[in-house]
Amino acid sequence: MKVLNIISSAYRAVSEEQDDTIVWLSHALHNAGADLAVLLSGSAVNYVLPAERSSPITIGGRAQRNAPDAHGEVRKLAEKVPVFVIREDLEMRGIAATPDEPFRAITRATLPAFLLSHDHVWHW
Amino acid sequence: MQQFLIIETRDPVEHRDVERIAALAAGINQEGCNAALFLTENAVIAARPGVAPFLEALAAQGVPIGVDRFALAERGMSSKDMAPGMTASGIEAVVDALLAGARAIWR
Amino acid sequence: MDKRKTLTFALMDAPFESSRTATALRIIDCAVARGIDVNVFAYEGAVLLPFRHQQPHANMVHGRDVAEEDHPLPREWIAALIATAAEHGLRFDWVNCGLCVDERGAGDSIDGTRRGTPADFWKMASESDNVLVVPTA
Repeated sequence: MKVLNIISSAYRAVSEEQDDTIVWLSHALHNAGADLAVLLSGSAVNYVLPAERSSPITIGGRAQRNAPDAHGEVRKLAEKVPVFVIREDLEMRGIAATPDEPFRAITRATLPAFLLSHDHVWHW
Repeated sequence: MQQFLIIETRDPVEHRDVERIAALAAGINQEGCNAALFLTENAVIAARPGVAPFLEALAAQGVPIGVDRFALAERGMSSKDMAPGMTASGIEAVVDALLAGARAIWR
Repeated sequence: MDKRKTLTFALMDAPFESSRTATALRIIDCAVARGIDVNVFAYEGAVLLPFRHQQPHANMVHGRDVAEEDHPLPREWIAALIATAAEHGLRFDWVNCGLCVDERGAGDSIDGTRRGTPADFWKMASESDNVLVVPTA
């Protein structure tokens, strides 16, 4: 059963969770044996950019020790499962349309066939 | 024939992406799969004539567009207020599609 | 006899935050009414949907006391779905993602729900006729 996880919402609760929770879930599903691919769309395409770990935040003196590394976790995921990104969503956000390895760009024109090549499409 | 259901919940006036979803549905049809849309929540606003011409065009191409009767009533609308080609239906349309094996995504 | 169908749903929204919760529960209710076995994987805020300590309240803007307001709570809806499924010999498996439960302090969940992991979601999905993921906004 081939599954495509689509991630389009980015940096959502990332500081509180210390993870992008759908990137995390994708790691967990892969570890559970899922035949998984991931598609980054919308604001989530920003994850293909190399970026340092976020700065930890301190609220009321309570300091965070493990600031999230959303970009790094997506890159690690891409070493385990295919991670695709929508080219036009990159361009609209001023990001180079050809992302670095291991990410693979697809176009909106090929998106229908790409979705249909998976048994399940889960948009999170 | 394979089926694909897109459940759209967003007001197209606020969310430009709804137009891209309509294009996706058309593209899926062109791939030989039966795509359908189900509008619910604030997306039913798009059922009013002239609000979302891209959806009216999609309906004219034969893509079934179901509109949640409950969400219509919640917004003071009825099937009489809808653009041609859209059909008011109950939430069971989603269950029917899932049971028929449609790949379903929720936007 | 045709084998009974199974649908799996993944929910993410916390109670009282999004209309997606009511829409999703309407779909699940319809599935149960149709005699379908249902699995629900509650992820993130959705683990609070069956939280045992939800309480109804009065509505002073409308001049209704607690009884008159009769505020339906998500935990009541879920309990009713569990009961309806049981009455009809259907399976209804509600799994709360454990880590999401821990970080939200949502451990005290109504009877008929259980704690689990993404591996449970994968198992449910693999063994179902279809899956619908209801994302958060």
